[in-house]
Amino acid sequence: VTRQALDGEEPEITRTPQGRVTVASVDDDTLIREGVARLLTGLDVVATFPRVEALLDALPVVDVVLLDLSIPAAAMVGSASKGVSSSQGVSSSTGVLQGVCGVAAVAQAGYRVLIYTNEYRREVLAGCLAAGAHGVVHKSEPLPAIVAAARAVADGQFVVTTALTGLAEVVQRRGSLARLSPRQLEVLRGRARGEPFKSIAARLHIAPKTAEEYMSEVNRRFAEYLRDHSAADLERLLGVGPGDLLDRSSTD
Amino acid sequence: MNRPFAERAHTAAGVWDALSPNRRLATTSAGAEMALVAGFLGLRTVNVLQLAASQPTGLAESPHPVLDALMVAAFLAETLGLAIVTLRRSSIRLPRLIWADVALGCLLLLGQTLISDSDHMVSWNAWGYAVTLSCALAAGIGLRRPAETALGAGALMACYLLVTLPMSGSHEELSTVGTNSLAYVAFAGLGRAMAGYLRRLGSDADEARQRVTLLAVNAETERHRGLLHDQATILSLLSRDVTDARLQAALRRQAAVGATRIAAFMSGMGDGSPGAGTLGAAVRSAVVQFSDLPLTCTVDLAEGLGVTHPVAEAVHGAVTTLLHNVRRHAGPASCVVHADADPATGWWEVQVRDDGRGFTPETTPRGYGLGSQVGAAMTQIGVRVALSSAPGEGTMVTLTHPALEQPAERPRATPEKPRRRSSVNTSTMIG
Repeated sequence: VTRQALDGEEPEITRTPQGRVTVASVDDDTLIREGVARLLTGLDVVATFPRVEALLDALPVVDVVLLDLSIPAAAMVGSASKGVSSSQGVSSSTGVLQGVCGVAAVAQAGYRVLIYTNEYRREVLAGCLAAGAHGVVHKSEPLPAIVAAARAVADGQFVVTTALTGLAEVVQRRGSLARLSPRQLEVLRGRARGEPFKSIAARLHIAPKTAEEYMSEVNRRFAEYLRDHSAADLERLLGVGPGDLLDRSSTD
Repeated sequence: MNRPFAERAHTAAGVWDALSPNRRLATTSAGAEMALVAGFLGLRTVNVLQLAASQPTGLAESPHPVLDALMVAAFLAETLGLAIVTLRRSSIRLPRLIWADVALGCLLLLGQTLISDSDHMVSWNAWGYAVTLSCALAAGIGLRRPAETALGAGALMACYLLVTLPMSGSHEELSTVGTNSLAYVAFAGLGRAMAGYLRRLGSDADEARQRVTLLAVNAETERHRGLLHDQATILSLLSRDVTDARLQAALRRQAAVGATRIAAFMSGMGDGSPGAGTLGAAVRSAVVQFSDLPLTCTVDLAEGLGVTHPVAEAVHGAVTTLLHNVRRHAGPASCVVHADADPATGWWEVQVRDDGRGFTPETTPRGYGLGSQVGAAMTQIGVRVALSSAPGEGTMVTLTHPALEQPAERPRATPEKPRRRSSVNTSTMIG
């Protein structure tokens, strides 16, 4: 049984059998932390934390960190942000490590980060990938999808949402993504349109696992692109930069 | 102050329009019939005027002036009766009257020998020839069968020849008589041809009007159905005990939008659908109404393609209907709306895919939404609709507008055309 780290307490980190994917969860919501530990039966959730600072204090040995993006200051009650260097970055608005800063801090600590969030704005999620996340999964996804995403991230793959896949397709179409093979392109096209791997695999006469690997490679290159380019570059690519052709804010 | 020339010309044209019989005659089958009546009576009026002008001299020179006057009176009376009946019936297709007219014409021709000198048989003194040409015209436009027309014209011609040939000695006189007699055939034949053409024009105009009216009624019905179909879905969902707060909020928003659209529709201002813009904007404008659905909308690739108002309206309507179907029937964990386009060729594609319940297309009848609001509406703008679904495997609907032309040099960033889906699902074409 995994015991979660409450504010001001040291987390208890459980041992798990080899070959199982070990996960640490960071979420300010107690129910989510409890739920993740109890419901993701395909994973070994060895530690849960209400905030990034607590994770970085404990530094558990896990394959994947399941990280919530939005951690309000209330999660800091009774706890100081000890052990967090200024170089790790603290969200200026809340004074806590959250959002892109939290992702960057956890990634810099050497963890593979799987964003577990209700955030749907793809620019924000793209920023998280740029900050070092290996994947994004929404809290509304079914549990098996979350387990599969964590396993894939533990395996070194990149997992993104359909919205981000759509963004990757736009970046590819604009010629900014490293050259993809025809199969990778087909998988990217299918996933951007919400096609399941099973269907893509049947269409391309390949194994579903192979289709997933193609997509992971595309995601990796997309993450590379995001790390190498600024948010402004992405906005320019999409044509939604200030004063650009598709900038709707100027007419609102 | 001098009025501008154009204004005066417009006024003059208006006066002429008011006076012109052509303008007052309806361009219908009935109008064509009245035009024939007017043409015939116009010719007969000319006959009467000519007769009135020549009669003083004619009567003075006639060997039987009383008989001459009686014949003129008979002609005038018959013409008056014909005018009254044809005008009251608004038609000259009155075979009995026409036969009576032809018979009177024959009698008048035969009577010419009694009221004219032999020297004047081809002159205006023998007025029978001039006025009976209109009898031949009446036989052409008023009798139903061609044989009847030929018989009427033949009888008149025969009477004319019977009277004039015995009195024509010289070659010139024979030539004149022969030429004159052919005029009966010409008047009857040409009259019949022109009348037939006019009646056909009128009939076609009537048919076209009926068709247009029917189409307009159908189009209006479709507009009503198109507007009300989605609103019916919203009302149906609102009538249920919806507990999901997001769905409630979305339904309320859509109900408000629907109320506005219906109000705009009833006021004749259209139904508030999007105007011309980009394909991406048309799709987005539909998607924003469904915030309660687990939607992912990617339309960046279609933001560069401008579309006309009808296309934007059709795409907006189709995507809205498809998402209503998803909300009502699919129960999906995720739904993706994706738009792609190639502005260089005009090719575009909009795909709506959900991972919900799905259905068997072969055995499930299309509802009005999928059949008409999506299938028929898309076909009208040249867009193919492909449906792919299977129980438990969700549904995918793809709207594809084919490439209009191939660019000279394909840019690097143009989309690869999608391969045909060959999954376990069933693909069918709609519309």
